[in-house]
Amino acid sequence: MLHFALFCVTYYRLVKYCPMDEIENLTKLAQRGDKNAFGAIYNLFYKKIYRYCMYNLNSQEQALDITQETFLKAWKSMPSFSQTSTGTMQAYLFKIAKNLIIDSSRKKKTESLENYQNLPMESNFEENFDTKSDIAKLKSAINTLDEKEKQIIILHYFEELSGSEIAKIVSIREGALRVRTHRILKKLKEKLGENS
Amino acid sequence: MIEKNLEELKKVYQETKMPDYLIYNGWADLKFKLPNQQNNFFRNLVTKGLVFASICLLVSAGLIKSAQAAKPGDLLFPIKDFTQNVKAKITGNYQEIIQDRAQDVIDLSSKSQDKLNEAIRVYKQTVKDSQDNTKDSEKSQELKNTIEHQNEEIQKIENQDRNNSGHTNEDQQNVVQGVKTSTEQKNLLDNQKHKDQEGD
Repeated sequence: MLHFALFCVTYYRLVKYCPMDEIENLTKLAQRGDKNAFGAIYNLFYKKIYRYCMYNLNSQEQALDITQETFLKAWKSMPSFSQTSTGTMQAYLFKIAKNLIIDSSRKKKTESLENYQNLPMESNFEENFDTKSDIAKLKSAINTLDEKEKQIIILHYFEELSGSEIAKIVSIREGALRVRTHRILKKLKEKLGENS
Repeated sequence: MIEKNLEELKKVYQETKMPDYLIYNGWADLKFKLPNQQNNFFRNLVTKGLVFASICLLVSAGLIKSAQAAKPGDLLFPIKDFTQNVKAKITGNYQEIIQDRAQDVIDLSSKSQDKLNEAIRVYKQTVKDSQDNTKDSEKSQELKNTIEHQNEEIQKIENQDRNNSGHTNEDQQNVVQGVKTSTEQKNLLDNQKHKDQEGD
């Protein structure tokens, strides 16, 4: 009897304090205009969004701007957010960030090459890669992939998002995603000369 | 090998240094920039309402347009009947609707018997309604005469119809002929009136 009661209490706590459940509640509150609830969502995800932006843009300033812009956009479109159509809150935020990164990259391309070369390298990636040449090669190989493939690798291997979440972010079917991930890995191996 | 390198790269990725600004001031700064959600909610509601109203308007317009070709007994006929009644009530002109019903009887005279019976019933109902609605109107004396004339024709033919046992094609032809005659008479009266006005 005591064991059963303990099991019930533990189960209740697990269900009540399950992060997914908590995020859902926070989302509902934020949809009603609760800024503090949105603040809690911000605190849960800002690190993930920032490092995702940082990896893609390689600029601290831009990554900061896009992180803040992502949350601002998410807040503005909060009333229309629906888990069934847009996926989880995490997927929703990553999708907004991904679109902003793509927009930013397009703008960047229009800038002159001269300005680019004068930009200081703010990333800590490059410094680390100097000593770890294999990882540097891998990063370069990832950068040569097309935009969608690159995002799949980042979200799958580095952020460890679920298949359904990645599928929502990159706008492809979950079944196709599995095949595509396998192909990208094969492509990377070929680029790194592992197959030969 | 690649899996191992991906794991290593993942570690580097996850160790990305967070800027102090984001840790200490990120949310505080963003909170000030967030617009009031209530306004957005209402704006969203109004937008959805407008979209819904536009869709309803388009569907209604499409239905009314398609219903214009409907004949008594058709699925869309009640829509046509309703819109014509509304139009007649607003403009006070019942001649058009009566002419249209008479035309329906003429058009359906060569079609199925059920549809013709329905057309005659609708025609009589329209004439009755128009008479009721124009009872106190001074302007519609001419219309009253036309209606009464058409009604008499129908009544006469219907009486003949009752005396015979059951409906036959001949009876229906009589009704149709009656409506045709009265419509033609009305048109002649209209033309005469126009000529008189031009002469004046």
